[in-house]
Amino acid sequence: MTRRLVLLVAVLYVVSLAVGPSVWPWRLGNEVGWAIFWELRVPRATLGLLVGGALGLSGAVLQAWLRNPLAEPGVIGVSACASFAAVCAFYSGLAAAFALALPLAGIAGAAIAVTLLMAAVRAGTSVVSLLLVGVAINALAGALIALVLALSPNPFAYQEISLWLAGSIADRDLRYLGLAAPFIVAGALVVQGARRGLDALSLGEDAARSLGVETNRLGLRLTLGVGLMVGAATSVAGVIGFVGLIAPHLVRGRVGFRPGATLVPSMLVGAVLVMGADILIRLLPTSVELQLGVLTSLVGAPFLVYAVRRARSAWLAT
Amino acid sequence: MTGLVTDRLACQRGPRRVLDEVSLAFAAGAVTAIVGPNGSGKTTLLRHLAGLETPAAGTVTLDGQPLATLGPAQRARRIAFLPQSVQAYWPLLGRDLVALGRLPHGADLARPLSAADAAAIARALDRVDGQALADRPIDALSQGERARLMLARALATEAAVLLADEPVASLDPAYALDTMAVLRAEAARGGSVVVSLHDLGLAARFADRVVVLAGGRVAADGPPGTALQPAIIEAAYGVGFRMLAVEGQPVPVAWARRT
Amino acid sequence: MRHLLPLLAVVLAALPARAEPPKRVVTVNLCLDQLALRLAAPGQLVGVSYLATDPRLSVMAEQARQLPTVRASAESILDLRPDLVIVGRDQLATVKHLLRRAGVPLLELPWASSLAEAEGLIRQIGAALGREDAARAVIEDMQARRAALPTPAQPAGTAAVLGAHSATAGRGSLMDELLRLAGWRNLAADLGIGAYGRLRLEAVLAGQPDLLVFDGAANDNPSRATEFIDHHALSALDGHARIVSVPLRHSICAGPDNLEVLRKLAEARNEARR
Repeated sequence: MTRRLVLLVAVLYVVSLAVGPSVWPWRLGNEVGWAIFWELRVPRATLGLLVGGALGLSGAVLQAWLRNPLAEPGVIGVSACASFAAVCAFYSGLAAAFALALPLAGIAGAAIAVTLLMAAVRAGTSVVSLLLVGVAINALAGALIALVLALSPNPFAYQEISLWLAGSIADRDLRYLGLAAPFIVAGALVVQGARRGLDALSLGEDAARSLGVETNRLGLRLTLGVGLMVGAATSVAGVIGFVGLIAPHLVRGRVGFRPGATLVPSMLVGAVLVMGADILIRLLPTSVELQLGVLTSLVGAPFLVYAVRRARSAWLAT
Repeated sequence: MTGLVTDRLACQRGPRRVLDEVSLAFAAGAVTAIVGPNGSGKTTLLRHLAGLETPAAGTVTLDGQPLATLGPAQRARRIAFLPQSVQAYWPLLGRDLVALGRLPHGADLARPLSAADAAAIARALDRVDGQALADRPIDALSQGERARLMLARALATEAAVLLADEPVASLDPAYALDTMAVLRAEAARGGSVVVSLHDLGLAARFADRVVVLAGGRVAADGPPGTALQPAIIEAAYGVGFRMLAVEGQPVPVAWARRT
Repeated sequence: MRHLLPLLAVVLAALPARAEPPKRVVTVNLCLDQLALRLAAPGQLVGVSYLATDPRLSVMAEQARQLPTVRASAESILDLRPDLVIVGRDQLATVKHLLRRAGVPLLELPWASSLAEAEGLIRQIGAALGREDAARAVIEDMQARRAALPTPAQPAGTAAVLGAHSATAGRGSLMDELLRLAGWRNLAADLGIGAYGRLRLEAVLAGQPDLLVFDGAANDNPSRATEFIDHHALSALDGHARIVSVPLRHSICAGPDNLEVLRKLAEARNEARR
């Protein structure tokens, strides 16, 4: 399955490079054509790949670690916190002065949210209760983002809340790709080493610890990894929800539900979902280009409802 | 001193002294049953033996080495712990669940298993008579069948010490008896088995040694005939017992509240 | 001009019965605020909308700050006890309804998207304020400045107008007219985009324009809408396209300040032809 997914990712990447309002830009032959390719198409396709992979992988990690099939960075509020932190860095002008401030802020926001959720799970919250915590965090972050935007001196800022809460990878040039890519890759590598620990957590924290898993260290590692991935991705693309929810679900049954085995396939499926959605957006005949986060929510929200019903009827219910 | 030994072990939870001056030695090749009423500290004791908690006072040593100095991986290879009513959060296949027991030996579920790991898993399934359950998802199994696989998981580690916290608490008598038989077999192979039990009858029948805990202290420590005397268990449980003789074996039965 | 007669009838009907010009005028629209600030007699204007005080959006910000500002609420307007309220025809329907019920005379004016329509508005506001002479002076000045610019025979090239959120000025918009008068083709109009359509960066680049028109200072306080100014893809047009920076306050509203824009565009055209 992994091999086929890698092939699909490669195909979609090439398609993503080729789709756009102008014909294949190399035909333009000159500087402008190359600028379209390098500063518009390549960043867009690559961000689709990286952001999708980051969200898919983060979703798989969060679900395995929180033992909750409904967890994912968007639903439980991690992306919204990252978005809020990024908004603070961006509209205060800090990111303009010091470019790395943007992804670093996003990472800090995401890491804080993950830490809070980890504490909630330790306290023994149930599957659906964790969703409620996510609802609260999302609402609070959304309100805070609106507040920061309203305080911005730029007159256009206030209308941009939707760009942050239902994100987009359009019109991001190579600088943004360069800001996000290293952190996303680093986060993915950090998380890979946690695979066996996540498998052990299937039996709960006590059994996992008795199997030699240092759960505190594991928690820190996962917080760092998810924080890096979701924080960097959200800081340049905004909140793109539900990718991390859907990808592990599609993959889990085919790997015998082993949490560690869902990681790499979820990453690939996440990349497929985001790139596919972004290609679809560019092909839709709408006069205004639909935002990526809107499309993922259109598909993802009904999926969430379906997943909740399945989880409640399953034996591992609330 | 070989084996698992506690020396004046104490555990403090807020104002409560959950364990106090607990000094026990668990020999290899024997089944030790820990009994006592709820709140007497059985689970806490087992958690300390498994190295999951640090004592407020006293020590827990394995073959002379304090547990704290053993790395988590080493400890996991030498002590297997079956917590109370463990649930698996994902509907894993039976064999994958059992394979988790090989994690301390470096197994990785996402990779093909080594020959040693595969053999250990096969042995563990054999011992619990669970081969038929190996290829089924655990959410399709009955509670008793799941409990068998959980026990197999602990056996798969092939550790020197096996700790089981109330492994038969909510099981049908058939499964309860099967489980106790497996634990006895494990001890017969040279392992040190420590199991906490609610059922004094099972303790009397299957344990080589019984430790009675009451209020965090050791009330009795010896063979079942000595430790399960009416005077001791009546004081520990606050309930009157009658002793039934079954095939020459005395079995305590709770009879009436003491006035 | 053909809208003028029916509008004039509405205006006359809305004026109070006495022949005196109004003494306490409130305007609630950025563009109408600025025109009123130009035309009103000292002390005649007692309130403007808060947007008029923003120097990024309003050329009369200094003057506007001397006056109380109103928000889009009937209460804040009534608080100033106006005897005339000038407001856009297609905005604030509920506020206008409340004002009418309170018996306050309203002057409702349409959105102007050409120089001719701007002149119409100036005349109407001048008439309503009893400042016809001032209005005439402003219009004459506008026409003189326009006449001073050369009439181009042929367009010098294609221009792309870039605004916040990929907005552009398409066919029928104010900028469209200004580009045409200054001797430029409008890329958005060529692509069939309407007055307030969107023009994505890639389409801008692919159209290979000779002139880029946008507010160069718009991204001084960053926002996603104005990020395009620093986008690396646009830098590929360095050397191929000139840039004319048009401050937002000169292009948002139809009025005398558009002539400044026209002058810059004409200057760019002259340089291009050289």
